[in-house]
Amino acid sequence: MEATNSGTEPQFPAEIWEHIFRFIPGSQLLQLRLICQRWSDIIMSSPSLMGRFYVQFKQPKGVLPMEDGYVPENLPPKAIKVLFHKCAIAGLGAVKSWWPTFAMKLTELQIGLGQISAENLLWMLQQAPNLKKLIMFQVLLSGSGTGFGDTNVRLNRLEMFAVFHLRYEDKDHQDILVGLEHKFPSLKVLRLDVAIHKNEAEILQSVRTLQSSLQRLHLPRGKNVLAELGKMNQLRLKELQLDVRFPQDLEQWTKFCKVQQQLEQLTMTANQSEFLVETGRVLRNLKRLSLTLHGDMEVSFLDAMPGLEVLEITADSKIDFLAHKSPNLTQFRLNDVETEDLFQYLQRSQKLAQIYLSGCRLGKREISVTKHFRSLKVLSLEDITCDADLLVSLFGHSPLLEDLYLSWIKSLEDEHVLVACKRLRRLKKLSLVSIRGVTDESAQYIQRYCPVLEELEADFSDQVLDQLEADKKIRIKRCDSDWSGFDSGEDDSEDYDAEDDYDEDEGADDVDDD
Amino acid sequence: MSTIKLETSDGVKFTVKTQVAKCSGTIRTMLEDIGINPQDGEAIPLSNVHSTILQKILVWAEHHVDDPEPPREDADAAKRTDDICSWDEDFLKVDQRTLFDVMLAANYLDMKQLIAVCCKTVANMIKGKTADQIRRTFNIENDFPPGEEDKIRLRNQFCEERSR
Repeated sequence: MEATNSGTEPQFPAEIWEHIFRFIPGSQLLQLRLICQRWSDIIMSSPSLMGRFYVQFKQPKGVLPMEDGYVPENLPPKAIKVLFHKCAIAGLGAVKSWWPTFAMKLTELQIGLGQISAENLLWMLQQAPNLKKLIMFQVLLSGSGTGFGDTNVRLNRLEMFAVFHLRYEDKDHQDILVGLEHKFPSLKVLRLDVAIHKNEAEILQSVRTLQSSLQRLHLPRGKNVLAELGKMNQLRLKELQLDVRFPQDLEQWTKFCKVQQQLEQLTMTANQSEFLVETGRVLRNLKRLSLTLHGDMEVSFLDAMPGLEVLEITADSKIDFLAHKSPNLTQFRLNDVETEDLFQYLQRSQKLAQIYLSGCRLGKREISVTKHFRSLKVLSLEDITCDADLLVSLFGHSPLLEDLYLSWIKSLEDEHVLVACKRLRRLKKLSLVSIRGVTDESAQYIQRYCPVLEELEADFSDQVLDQLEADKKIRIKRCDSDWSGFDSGEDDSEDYDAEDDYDEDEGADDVDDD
Repeated sequence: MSTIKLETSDGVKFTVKTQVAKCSGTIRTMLEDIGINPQDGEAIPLSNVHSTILQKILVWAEHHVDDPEPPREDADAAKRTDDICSWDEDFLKVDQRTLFDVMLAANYLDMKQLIAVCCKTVANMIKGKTADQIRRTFNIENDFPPGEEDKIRLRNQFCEERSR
């Protein structure tokens, strides 16, 4: 609604303003702190508003050295989430003066692509008694160090602990993961993506101790992992991520599934999928399945999992979907697969709302889509090899599509964008990225035929983008159209957004919720 | 059909269907927990609500009385504001003062759905606007002491939203 008679100052209590601000996107929310003192205070004091932001320690490029005596300037005082990105945290002297006051309120700590000594890490944790999430990805631990078992760190509130690719500077370094059950006694989520050939027994001991509170578990492959998990009587997981090899694991895996029938989400690396039929039969509550497969593809297990709502398959092979179907599917992702009958399979999923295809080859038999996707809102096609006719028929049969992302598609040209613009009358977001066949001409079609478009990402010329921005009042995301910049070697892409999948349906357990 | 009486700050009495009045958490609590008995014919005093605003709010409650409970939402992410139903949109096409008074009254009466839809409406008045436009809209004075704004800008630089 437009303000008709401006100039009335509302006498709202802070809670109403806070409620209003919850509807403001993050980038503008920070700007609202500059409106007046009161707004600034309201935003800063609200855990649910500040919870959307991470205080980030990082350099625009390269490593941020945090030497002895380092003191960050202009640190926001009431932060609750913090991320150290590519920081080299030297000794205790780098954090001692400012960390204790800053860390008291923290609920989440992430350390990524950085370096820190084990002593320093443990000391920093000790100062942060309210931590709920601790995430470390690609951290290099320096110094001699001790395990979690040897110090008096105890974080009673920690619910999630995730470690991805931990390295030690000193090869004989004591494993810091040993004894974690004593330090984090209330863990609900444990994700370990590290080599555990040396400390497998200790890690499994930790899981055994934590079994009654754990809900989500991600363990790497180990000699006794499956066998030991099968013996834990109180373990009742909602989510599991595991690496399974068939046929040698088949018996133990099936036995384990029978105990974990409440499992809703499974992320699995497996060598062959034909052994998954029994898994589907046993795990009747499975809603989300993410598979990374090697070797032969056979998807008959899909018929044994009619309750699936979210499915992701990554495989470096060919899939025939044949007559299989997933009637309750709402989200589908397919990566690096070659297939000829994908859309015939997808058309049997009438609730499908989101499709993401990446690195896929859609073969010759995949000529056209014949039925409407009545629920499809999001379609993302990245690095796809297929016939342009297929794209055209796809656009024509997705009347409710709101978000279309197209990138690296050789067969796509301006004339196909014209069809998309004409047929997709509800399109709110459109991305046309790195597509050689799409030129400034497509901008005219967008201008003419997209009545409700809100956001556009495209590598049109600046002049054309400026004009679109001015005429249609749409947000323009400018992408780097420099072709040579494709392989820039920036390793930012390794950023692991570990909480992503965790947050989705874990909201009910969040204390910050109201 | 059971009814109760409500009395506004300016002394006007309303006779309202109990079911409609119970859209207000405050009134619901009065009836159910504190044990105010509406059969006595005694009006429930709403000392913070003016009759013109209550009248408006009762129109809203009458229309939404059979609405199902809304689903729980993720608390952390910015929520959408483009899902206001067209009836509510028309209902809230009022001058700014009335809108704000409705919000204050809805807050006092603890009517979550009405508060939410009002907050969305106000959020839409903020979204995409410059600081000056926002200050003008809400008649807010820039009351920062010199230097404070720069400090906030620097502190903001530390903060980033992480989403895909």
